[in-house]
Amino acid sequence: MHSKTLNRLQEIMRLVFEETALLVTDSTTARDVEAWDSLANIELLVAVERKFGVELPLAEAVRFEDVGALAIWLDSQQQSITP
Amino acid sequence: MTAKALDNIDHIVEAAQRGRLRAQTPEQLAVWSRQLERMAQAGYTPGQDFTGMRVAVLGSFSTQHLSRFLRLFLLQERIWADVYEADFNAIEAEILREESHLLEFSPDFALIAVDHRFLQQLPSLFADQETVEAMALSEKQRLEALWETLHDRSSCHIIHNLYDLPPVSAIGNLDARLPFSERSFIHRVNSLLLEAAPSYVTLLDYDYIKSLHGRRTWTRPRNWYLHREGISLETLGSYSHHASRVIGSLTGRIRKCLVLDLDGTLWGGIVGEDGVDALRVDAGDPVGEAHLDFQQYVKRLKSYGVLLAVVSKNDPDVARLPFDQKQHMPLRREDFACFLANWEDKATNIRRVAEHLNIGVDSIAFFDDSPLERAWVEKELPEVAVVDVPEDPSKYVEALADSLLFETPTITAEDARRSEFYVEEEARNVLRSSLGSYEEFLQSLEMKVTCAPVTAANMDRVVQLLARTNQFNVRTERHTKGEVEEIILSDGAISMAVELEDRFGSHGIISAVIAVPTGEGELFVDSWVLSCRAFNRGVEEVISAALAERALHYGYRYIIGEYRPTDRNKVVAELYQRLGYERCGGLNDRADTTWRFDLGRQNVPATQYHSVSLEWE
Repeated sequence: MHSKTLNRLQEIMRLVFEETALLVTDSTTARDVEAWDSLANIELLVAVERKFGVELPLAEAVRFEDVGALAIWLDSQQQSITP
Repeated sequence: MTAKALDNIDHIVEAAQRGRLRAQTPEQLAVWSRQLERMAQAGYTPGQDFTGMRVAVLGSFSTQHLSRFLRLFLLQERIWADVYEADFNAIEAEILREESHLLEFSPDFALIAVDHRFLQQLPSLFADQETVEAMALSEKQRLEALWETLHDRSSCHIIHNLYDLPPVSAIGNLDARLPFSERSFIHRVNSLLLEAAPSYVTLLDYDYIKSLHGRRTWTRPRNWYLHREGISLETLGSYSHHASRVIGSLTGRIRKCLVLDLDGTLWGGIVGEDGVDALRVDAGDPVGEAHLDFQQYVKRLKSYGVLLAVVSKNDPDVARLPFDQKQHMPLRREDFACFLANWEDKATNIRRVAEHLNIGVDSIAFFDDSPLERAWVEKELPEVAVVDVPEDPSKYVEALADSLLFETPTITAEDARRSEFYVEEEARNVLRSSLGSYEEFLQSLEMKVTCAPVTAANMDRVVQLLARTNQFNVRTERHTKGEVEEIILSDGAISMAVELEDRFGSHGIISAVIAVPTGEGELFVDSWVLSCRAFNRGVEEVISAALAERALHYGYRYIIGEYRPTDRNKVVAELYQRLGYERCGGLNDRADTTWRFDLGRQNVPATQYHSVSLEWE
């Protein structure tokens, strides 16, 4: 599931950051992607919440160090959704 | 700027012009608006038919995405905006400081995006009526000072959010009843603002726009803490749409006519196949009620000045039947200024409607339940605004309302009677065809022209004429109400609002002239517009004579007229020549021509067919 989530995140990030060949791994952070500024971060959050059908609580939204951490959190939400 | 980037932008511009922006995901809008900003920074401008405008955005919440979205949504209005974004929450600083980037930018429009957090104070618990009122007045005066200062320094038109109600209350339903509650206070402040707003300020009903989406969706507390969000990305498109439509409606982007289909639109069923009795358009039938309510809404649009037309693929006799036999329907045959039922394609018919009503195809909006017809019209007539009609008729009214196509800065008495004019015009045409010469016709109309100065009483109509008139418009200056007020109050300015009446009815105010001194005894005609309903009636000669009389009275020696050609106003290319003006000056790049009338030496032609009333004092 984790790699599937990473792939979905990669798709979303390719759209939001306008980088069609972007490769995203667990350790990817905003520092690694030029287009990932504060505005793009807002857009990313919106897209992720809509596409995964989740709502990031405030504490989680400020917390993520890298894409991997976000993916882990998303997986934990998916697990509680799918029976 | 690569070819690919330009291609991409063309695609975005086209999507905007076709009204497709609201259907996009918020992320897609964000990406497009960022691409557009990048292109703007690289010096890109879209084609000739875009108007450049400088728009400042100030906010008490984050305005970064809003600034980008506004540029994108203004493409719908064929406006290419140079956008200035003020520093975060620095509204007072930017406006009140002696020198600021905002003033250097010299905006045409300023959008002040605030919400209830911008209030300086709130009444305390158990504050009495007097205290609450004093506090509300103080809030009003605070905003008035901001508006006045900004307008004095930049002459811009301001768009300002009325206060929204706070999303939560500590006291539930009681909140509405307590005079010192936040909710009551905001209602009071908004009332005062609505009364006090000068003509250069347009107040946006922010709470109403929010309520269309729901306060909980509009923004979340989390996002205020994270990035000072006031409007979520998901609803920012809607807000930007409203703001850009207001700007569009203030600068002449007006849709004058709604063209409607019949079958499946005004009623359920197909009259030619099912017969009148089987149509779904009766109360007590849920589908019928949806269509009846849609008709009722359309009828309201008509009362606000929108012309209605029918374009239907039907036999003309068959198309009439429901109007003859179902008299309970809100719309009657006479409500339509143009009724075309035939088997030709709808684009051809829409062109006919435009011709018949003497309006541009770009003044038309089209509502048809058939996706095929909509796609055809979109393809053949890209300037027509095609409403994205949902499949479910119970959603028709909302779809039309949310399009904001008929957003207008004001409504006038002429609006309410616009449709009747076309009926009266039929009577005039009958008279015309019964007489021998055109001169006989003019004589028998018994026309009366009244010229009066532009005042508060007729100002709205004058501004409307300046915004809407494309053909008889010598300089196409789209002045806002605030601008007109300033000009007519200036020293030596002469202004006229002209009414035309004849034995068939009154046309209302059909022309406006604004003229200003330009030194050395010269009076310059800044604006002259004449509604097409007064064409070929000899009215322009009457107006010219009245202007000359007034100019002489004020001691002017010359009247200077300028003609600025557009692709719509060829009808006035020779106007000044016809009126006895002499050509002066050379041609510039745009082929503008300048004309001069010597009040000392030339005679104003006498008027023959009109009784004229000049109401100067």
